Amino acid sequence: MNRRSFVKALSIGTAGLMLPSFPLYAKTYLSVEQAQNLIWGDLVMEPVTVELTKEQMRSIAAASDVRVRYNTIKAWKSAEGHWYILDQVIGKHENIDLAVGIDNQGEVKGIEVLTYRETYGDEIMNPKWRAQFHGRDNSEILRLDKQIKNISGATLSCRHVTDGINRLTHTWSQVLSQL
Amino acid sequence: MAEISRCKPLLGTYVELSLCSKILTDSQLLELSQLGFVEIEKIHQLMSFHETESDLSRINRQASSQVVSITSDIHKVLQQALMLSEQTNGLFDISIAPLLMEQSLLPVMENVSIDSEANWQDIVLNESGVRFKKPLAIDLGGIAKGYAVDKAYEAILETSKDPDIKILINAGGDLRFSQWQQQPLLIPTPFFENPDIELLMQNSAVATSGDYLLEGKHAILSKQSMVLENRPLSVSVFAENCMIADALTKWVFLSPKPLELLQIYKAKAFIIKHDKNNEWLN
Repeated sequence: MNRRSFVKALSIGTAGLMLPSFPLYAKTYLSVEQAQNLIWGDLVMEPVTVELTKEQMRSIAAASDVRVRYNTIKAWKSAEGHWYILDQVIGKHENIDLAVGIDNQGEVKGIEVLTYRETYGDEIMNPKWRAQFHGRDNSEILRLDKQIKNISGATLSCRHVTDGINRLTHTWSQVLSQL
Repeated sequence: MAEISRCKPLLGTYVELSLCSKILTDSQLLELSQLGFVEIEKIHQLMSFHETESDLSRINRQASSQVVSITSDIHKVLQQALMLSEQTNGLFDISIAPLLMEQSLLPVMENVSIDSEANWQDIVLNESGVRFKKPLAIDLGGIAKGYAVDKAYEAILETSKDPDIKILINAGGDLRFSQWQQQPLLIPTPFFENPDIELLMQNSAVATSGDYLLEGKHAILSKQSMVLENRPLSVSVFAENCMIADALTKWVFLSPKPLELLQIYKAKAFIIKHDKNNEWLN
């Protein structure tokens, strides 16, 4: 879910009354700047937007065994060649925003989750069920529940983050390290 | 008033750490949060079954043939685990690893022979280390996550110059609070017939185990192959620390008579059932 549709999820009006709606839990943690500061301190970094070619996307996916969903990489780079990258992975069902530092040797220097979003409920997890709302943004059937802060449920695996980091280190070695 | 909230992928899940203080600054809170995450990472590296270089993997490879020296952290966790085995007549048993490997819930260890008759009573723990009397393999998945949360919590509390600092650590449902009184807690349930349930915290720590996330596979297993009628959807245990809460959720899941042990540990359990007859045990 991009930022715009996420904002839309916050402000569902009449659509929310007509459709069944399901709780979306969204929690924000450090800001982009705070996470950068935590990973890289005061290091001066310039913003860089990297566009991956189809060929590069295929090659990174083959090397990391992880699908490359986006061709645009939002990142910052220092004169020494250290990188700070904003990335998204799918959590259990919704996107999770990540900030990752990779140094000029390709080593991961820090990982922070910036926004965590999740939905609960059996049907909403089912792609077939979601398909009945085809043409609508998924966010329209979600409502944000801001009341509840602390959730204790069966443990969610962070496997997709691990996969995402793997994809990024391959992105570094194939593309970013050459820039 | 300063407040920070962070989340990192650790212990195989998402670990959330929030700090709030009336006298400390943002940067002091960030430093304390770093300290907490370092503790969790340390425990993760010591006790992970998945990491072949962890102390736990070393124990599993070597303890059948020699005494393996261990850190005080592993000693504490093993001691607690063995005490629970004794108290539960072996229903809680960390020598469950081979069964979990069979079910593909844990990666298979190469070149390790296992005696299928071996159990927790074959684990010998003393001052010099740990030794297995029969070839076996242990998994600390039922208890180590809670211990990691406790370690991070204590490290922050000991180091903080503000004794009233508010600490909240949530490692994928294993929660520890400093000021827990009147704090709401949400327990999600996966089926619409059972809507999410909101409770108030009952103690400093809570852990929840559910039986529904592994697509038909029971993630909570006992070597005593007990088949429960009306197996719960999830069990949440409130206790004074997370290690106990974490371990006791599995006990409440599997035991036909869980109450006595809950009382020994001054713990309370909330059980969500398929038939919606949810209940408190305390």
